[in-house]
Amino acid sequence: MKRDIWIFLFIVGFVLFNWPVISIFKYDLSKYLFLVWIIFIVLIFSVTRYSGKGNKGE
Amino acid sequence: MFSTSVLFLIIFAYLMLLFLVAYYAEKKEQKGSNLVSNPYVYSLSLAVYCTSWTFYGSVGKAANAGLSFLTIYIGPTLMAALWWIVLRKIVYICKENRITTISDFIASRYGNSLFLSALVTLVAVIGITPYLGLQLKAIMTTFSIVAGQSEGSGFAGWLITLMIGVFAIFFGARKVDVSERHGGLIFAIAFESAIKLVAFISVGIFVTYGLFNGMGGIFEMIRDSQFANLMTIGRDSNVSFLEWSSLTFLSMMAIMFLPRQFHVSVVENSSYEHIKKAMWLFPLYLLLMNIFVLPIAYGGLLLDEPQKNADYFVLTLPFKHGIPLLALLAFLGGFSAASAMVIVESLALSTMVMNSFVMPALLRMNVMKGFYIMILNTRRVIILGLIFLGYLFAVYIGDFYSLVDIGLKSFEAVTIFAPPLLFGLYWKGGNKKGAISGIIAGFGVWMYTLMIPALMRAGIIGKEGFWADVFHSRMLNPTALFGLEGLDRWSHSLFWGLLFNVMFYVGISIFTSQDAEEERQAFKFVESYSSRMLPARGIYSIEQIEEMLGQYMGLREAGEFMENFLARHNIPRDHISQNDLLDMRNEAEKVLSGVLGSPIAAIIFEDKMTLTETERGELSSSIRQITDTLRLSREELAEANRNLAYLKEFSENIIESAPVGIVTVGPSFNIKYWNREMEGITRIKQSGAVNASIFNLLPWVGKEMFTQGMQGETVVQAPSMQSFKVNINSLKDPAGGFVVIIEDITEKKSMEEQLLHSSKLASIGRLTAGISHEIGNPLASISSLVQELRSLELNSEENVNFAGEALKTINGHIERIVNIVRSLGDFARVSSSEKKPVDVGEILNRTIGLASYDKRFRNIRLIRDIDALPPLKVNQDQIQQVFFNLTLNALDAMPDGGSLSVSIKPAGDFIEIVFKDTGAGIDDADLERIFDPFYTTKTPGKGTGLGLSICYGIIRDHNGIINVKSRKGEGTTFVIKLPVSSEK
Repeated sequence: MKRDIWIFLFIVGFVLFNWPVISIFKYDLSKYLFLVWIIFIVLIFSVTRYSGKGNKGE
Repeated sequence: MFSTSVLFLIIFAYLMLLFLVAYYAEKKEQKGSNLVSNPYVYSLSLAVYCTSWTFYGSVGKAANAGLSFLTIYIGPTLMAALWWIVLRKIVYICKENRITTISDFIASRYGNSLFLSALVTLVAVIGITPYLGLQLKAIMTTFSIVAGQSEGSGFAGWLITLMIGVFAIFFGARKVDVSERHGGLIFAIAFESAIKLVAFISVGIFVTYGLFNGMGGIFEMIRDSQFANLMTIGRDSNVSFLEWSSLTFLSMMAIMFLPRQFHVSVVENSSYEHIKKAMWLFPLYLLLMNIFVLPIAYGGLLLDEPQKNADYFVLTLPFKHGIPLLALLAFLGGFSAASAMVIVESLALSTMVMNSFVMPALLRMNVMKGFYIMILNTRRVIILGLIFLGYLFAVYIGDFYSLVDIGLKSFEAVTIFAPPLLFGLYWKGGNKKGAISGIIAGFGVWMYTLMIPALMRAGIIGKEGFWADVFHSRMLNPTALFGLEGLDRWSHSLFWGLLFNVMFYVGISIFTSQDAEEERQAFKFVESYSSRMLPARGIYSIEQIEEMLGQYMGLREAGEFMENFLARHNIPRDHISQNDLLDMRNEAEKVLSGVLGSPIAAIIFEDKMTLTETERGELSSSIRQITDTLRLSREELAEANRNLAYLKEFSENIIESAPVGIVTVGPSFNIKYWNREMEGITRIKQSGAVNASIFNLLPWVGKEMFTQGMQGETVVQAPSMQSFKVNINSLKDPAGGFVVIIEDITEKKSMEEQLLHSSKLASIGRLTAGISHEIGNPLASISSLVQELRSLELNSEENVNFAGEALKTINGHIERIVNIVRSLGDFARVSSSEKKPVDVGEILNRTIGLASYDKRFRNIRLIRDIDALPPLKVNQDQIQQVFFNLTLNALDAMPDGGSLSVSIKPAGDFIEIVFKDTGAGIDDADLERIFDPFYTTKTPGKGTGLGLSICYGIIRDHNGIINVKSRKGEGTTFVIKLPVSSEK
């Protein structure tokens, strides 16, 4: 599995879970956080499931 | 409420259950089951991250500070996305180098530095002890709540701590395991993770749907209450965005660098594939674990529970609303969360302390006797010591802080390891001096910014005096270092700690150099997936490596290691290259590091530690205990292998050197084995014969010869006119098959036929005198009559009649001579080996007729008694030879005349032929040997001694029996029995 996909996913997650994005949803924050959390887990699941076998060396 | 004794019993029973679960899993694993080594157990074991802080503290944090508790779980979720890159690399390096702790990992990266290993261990112990205390505090507090006591019982706390300590030893320190893997423990931890999830969700469902109208109802109620600010972060809440980000970052570091997390995610990992599944399974677990945190926190607040007691809403709410069993389940859930952390963390820390402090100290103090027992007991003491250190913290300092506070201090402490570890994985420039400086700087900042205020708050450091002045100054205020104000304490400590850590690490690494070992290790860690050559380190000879290994493991073990290495890599001992020597040295170091820890192993191989001969002997004897069982099994196996190999070679030598052809075939008649003699017989090599059908290679071997009734010995003739004796037997093998033994008897048969023929001619020779008389007399008569006829004139009737009578007599004599010559010719011709149905009586008559030419026959009274019998399948020439020899022998025994009776009669399944004479008889001593070849009682020149042995051979060849009865002076009787069915 390509290292770039994981770094990209990490950055997207970091942005979505931190300021300033969370300040946009600060009044429904718990719903937003749990929703993004679920989506993030699904994304990780999808990438692990549908990517090819990763090489040992990236 | 439950009584104290009942609670103790429940705790004890639960710990016993965990132990049985662990024991069961270990036994299953030993039998090859993948009960432990599967991704679900791996993912659940990672949930040891969720301690009593999660179970109780999250609710408390949510009730006091709103949503910031989520950062503790969002951080690991984000980090999980990088596990395939980062965690997998760490796991790979650890497995390659047999690294079993985070301190060894960091030390190994920076040139196997023992000092660095010790420093990391010290930081970890100081940083994690409060965290251990937090768990014990939670257990003691919840115990009091469930037992209905207002204050925690000191004795209960002490006893529970002891019980957990003892079980930690049972789980992980029953023996010295060089791999540091504990399959049973991991399974038990996974089991506890499931228990705590079920317990928490049960309470969550009860509060959300039992006490309120679901999630929506609770959230709406809290929005309209005084606690509305708990639903947000930022300006209108207790938590700033900066604190939110700092806590997220701290938890990302914690999931990687907490010693217990390093242990379960790296050391206990058995497959890289498990990481893939854990990348989404573990965040899913965290999500499920946190779904009901807010409802429980808000629910408690809405039910007017005191905010300061929010840590234990999970227990108090079910209790106060009449569900004590649910509260008990919650207690067990919290106990699971806390005890799992204590057990795993104390095991991980004890290994670090052993490898970094105890082992080097023992070796330096030269305490070698009973090394194995000493390290085992020392480890147990360290486990108990760490746990009780946590207990002391919980008792004397823990009351001043919430569960979350204590936990976050530990998170800040392990973040100190992040720069040297993460940078060290990707930047070859980082060196030992930089790492040491960075860790010391980071630890100093941690102590100053977090622990000093905590100790001040606890009253251990006074609020007045020199240090109080320092701590309250503008520049050196621990909560606003260098005048930086406005940051929450976690962000503040994190910022300064990381800043100093990274600055020292990078700065000193850039401006100082690495030694060769550091360079090598840096290359190995950073380029861990690369197959490029490593820079050469000091090359030892093969003897030096063996000697070094032998000093600490024993000479035999060292020798075995060398032999295994050379065999695996197919390297001859006296032609080993530099590269291979390097690999051998590296592997030898790995083997030692599994026992002594990598820094010690590295030091040993750098020859920085020397021991006396006696010390080495004692140490090697102790270390040998650790591998004794394994070696014994290996030895027994090796011995069995050697015996097997010897037997195989011995058997093969026998079969290969046998003078007969040996073939084994399978049930489908395909050739499995073809020995050297078969190659000679058939000129077909073994390689061409194996797996071919025997009927294709040996067409003269019929399939019927393999049937049950036909197995045994058969003589067959090949188309090439060779004769073979074929012996076929079934193999005593469940798979079936046959062994075929083939003997080339062509030459032997030819010699037998020549011998028979010679015997025949010899027999005829014995008749010479008689035959010359039988032929001579008629010839003399013919000659006389011819003379008379020549001088006779046919001028009278009388002369004509005489001439007619004379011619008739001459014709009669000629016919007689012709018959004699013909019968001699028939007897003398080369006999065939074919058996045909013949009348045995006729053979006997013919033989008697031939023998009668012997003049001695005139003195013999012949008595014949031959029954009319159906034809018998025999070789008539050979049978005639037998009768002839017996008849002539009878004549020899009766030189002065006598009687000879011959008879042929049926006798059951046989035909009995009897030759009885009234001759001289045979001595008893000669009787036993009469059928032996070359044995004769006649004077030299009168007989070869082969006649009766040939008869014996011929009769045996017909599956018959020949016996002799005789008494000296009373004659001899030969009895021949031929089977009615004389063919096999």
